[in-house]
Amino acid sequence: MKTIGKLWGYSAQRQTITILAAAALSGLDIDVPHFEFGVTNRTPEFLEKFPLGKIPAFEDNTGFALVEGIAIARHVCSLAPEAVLLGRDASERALIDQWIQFSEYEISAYNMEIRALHTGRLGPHSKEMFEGLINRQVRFLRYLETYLVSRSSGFLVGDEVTLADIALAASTQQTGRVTCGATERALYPNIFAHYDKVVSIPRMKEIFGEPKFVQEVLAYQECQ
Amino acid sequence: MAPIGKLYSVPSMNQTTIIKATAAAAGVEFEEPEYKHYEDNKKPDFLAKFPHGKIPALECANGLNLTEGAAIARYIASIPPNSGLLGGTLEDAALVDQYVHFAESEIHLCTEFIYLMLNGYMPYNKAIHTTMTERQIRGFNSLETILLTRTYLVGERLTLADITVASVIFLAVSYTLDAPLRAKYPNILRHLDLIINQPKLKGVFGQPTFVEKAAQYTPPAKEKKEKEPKQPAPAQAPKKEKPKKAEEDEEEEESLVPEEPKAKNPLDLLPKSTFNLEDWKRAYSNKDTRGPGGSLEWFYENFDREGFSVYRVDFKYNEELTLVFMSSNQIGGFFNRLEASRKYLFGSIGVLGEANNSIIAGALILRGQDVKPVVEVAPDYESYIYRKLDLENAEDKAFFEGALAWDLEIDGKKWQDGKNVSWRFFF
Repeated sequence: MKTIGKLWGYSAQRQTITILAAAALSGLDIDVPHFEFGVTNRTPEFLEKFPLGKIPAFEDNTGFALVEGIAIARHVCSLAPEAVLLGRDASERALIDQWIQFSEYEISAYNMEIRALHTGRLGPHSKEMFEGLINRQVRFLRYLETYLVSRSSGFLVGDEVTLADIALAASTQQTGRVTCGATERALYPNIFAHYDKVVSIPRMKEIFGEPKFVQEVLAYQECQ
Repeated sequence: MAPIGKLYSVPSMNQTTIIKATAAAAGVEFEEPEYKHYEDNKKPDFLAKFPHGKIPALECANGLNLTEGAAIARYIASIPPNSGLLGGTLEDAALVDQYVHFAESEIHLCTEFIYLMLNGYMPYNKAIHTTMTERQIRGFNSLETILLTRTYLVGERLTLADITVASVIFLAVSYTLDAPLRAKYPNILRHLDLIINQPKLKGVFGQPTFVEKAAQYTPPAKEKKEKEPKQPAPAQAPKKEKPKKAEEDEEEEESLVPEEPKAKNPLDLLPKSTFNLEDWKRAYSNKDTRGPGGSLEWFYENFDREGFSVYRVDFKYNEELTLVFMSSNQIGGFFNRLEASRKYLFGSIGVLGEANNSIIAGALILRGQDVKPVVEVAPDYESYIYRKLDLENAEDKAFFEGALAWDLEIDGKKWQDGKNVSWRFFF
C-alpha cells in the first residue's frame, strides 16, 4: 500500500502513538524514518521543512508539511475514505473534538508538568506544586470515570472507536506512568478499562507498547 | 439565521473571545444567558447538561451540549457551508488545526499557568514562573518567524487560526508580553492589529491593553510561612534548651523544608573541626575565586582535611540533557532537595557544553569523609556519581578549582556562560 507520507517522532511519545494508531485504524500506511531526538530535528533539512524544530512532524508525498500532534492525527484520519474515526456528523465531530481537547489539556498537560517537576526541569521540587497539579487532574479523572460508566458502547462518542478514544488511551497510558499508581488506578476502573479496550483492538498493542504503569505515583518516588 | 443555542461563559476568558469572534466572522448567532460562574455551574440543571461544570459551554437547539472552547469554535465555524474559516482544502484545514493547537499549547498554556500562580490558584514558585516565561518566549519567537512571511496564517484570508492566535496574543500583551518583549515581535503585533480591526471582529475584541512590565508576584499580606527556608536554623536553638515546649514544635510543622532532624545526626557527632563552612561560604561569596587574596587561597589556608572532604559530582544521565536552562533548573532542584544538609555542605555545580550536548558536573565540600550521609537527604542523590578528590593530586586539584571558579572544561565542554545562562549554584 502506498504510504501517505512520513512521520518524524519516536515510538514512546504519546502524540506519535496517537498518530500511528489513527493511521492504522484508518487503514493507512505512514513511513516512519529513523529519528534521533536532538539530532535529526536540528539538521538544516529538517528545520527547513519544520522551522519550529518540534516533533511529531509530518510531510506528505507532495511536500505538504504539518506539525502539532492532534493536527496531524486529525489530518491523517481525514484522508481515509470515510474518515470513520472523525464521527458521522457535525455533532459527533464536535464531541470528538471536545474529548480530544480534554485529553490534551486536562490530562496530558498535567502529566507532562508533573513529570517535569519530578525530574527538576520545571523548577524546584515542591510538594505543594505536585499536589496542586495532581488535584487539578483528579477533578477531571473523576468526571471522566463517571462519564465512561454511562457509555454502553464503552467508547467516548458513538458506538465505535474514534480519534477521541485513541487520544484518551494514549493520555491514560501516561497517567498510569505518572499520576496514577496501583492504588489510584483502582479508583478509576472505567478509565483503565477504556485503555484496555482500545489497546486490545488489533494492531494497537504493538503501537502503544507495554503499559509500564508505576506502582507508586511518580511525584513521591525517588527521582531517577 | 436563528440563534443556534446558548453560550454560558464569562467575557474575560480567552476561549470566549475566540468563540464570539468566530461566530461574528461566520455570521452565526447564539444567546448569552446571564451566567454567574461558581454559582450557576453548580446548579443541577447546568450539571445535567454539563456534568464537568466548566465553561465555556454551548447548549445547542439541536440537542448537542458541547464544552471546550476550541471544539465550540470549530463547530461554529463549520456551520455555514462557505465560511472559509476552516480552510478550503484538507491541507488548509490541517494547517488551521496546527496553528490553533500551537497557539494553545505553546503560548496560551504558559499565560494561564503564570496567571494561576500569581492569583493563588496554584502555589507560587519563582523558578517555575521563569520556566514558563522562557517557554512562552520560545513560542513567541516561533510565531514571529511564522508571521514574517504571512499576512494571514493559512491561505490569503481570515481563518480560525488567525482568530485563535490573535486572541491568545490579545490576552498575552496585557499580561506577560510586555513592552521590552513586544519590541522584538513586530510581525506578531502587525497580525494582531490586522485581525482585531477586521470590521466584523472589532466589536468582539475592542482595544488591547498593553502592559509595560510583565505581571509579577505579590506575596500575600500575611506571611504565613517562612520565605527563606534557611531561617529555621537559628530558630531551632532556643527550642533545644526547653524540651518541654511540645506546642511550639507543632506550630513549626508547617515548614516545607524537612527540619534538621533533632535526633542525633552522626555528622554532628564528629570531632570539632577548625574549618568553618559558613566562613568558607562568606569567603567564596566575597572574594574572587582565583588569584592572590582569593577564596581558593583562603580555602587552602583553612581547610581541615580530617573534618571535611572534597568530592567530584557527575550527573549519570547526561545524554538526557537538552536545553541548558533546563539542566540548570535540574541542578537547582537537586540543591533544593539537599537543603536539609545545608550546614554540612557546599556545592558548586554547573552545566558544561551546549544544548543537547552537555554534562552536569561540579564539586562538593562536605563534612566528614563520606558523601552518603550528607547527600542522601535528597531523593535523587543516586542520579549522580560521587568521587572523592585528593587535593594533593594535580588533576583533582585542577578540577576542584575549575568547578569553583566556573572555568571548568571537560572534554572540550566549557562551563556554560553566556547570554542566557550564568548559573551559579552554591550554598
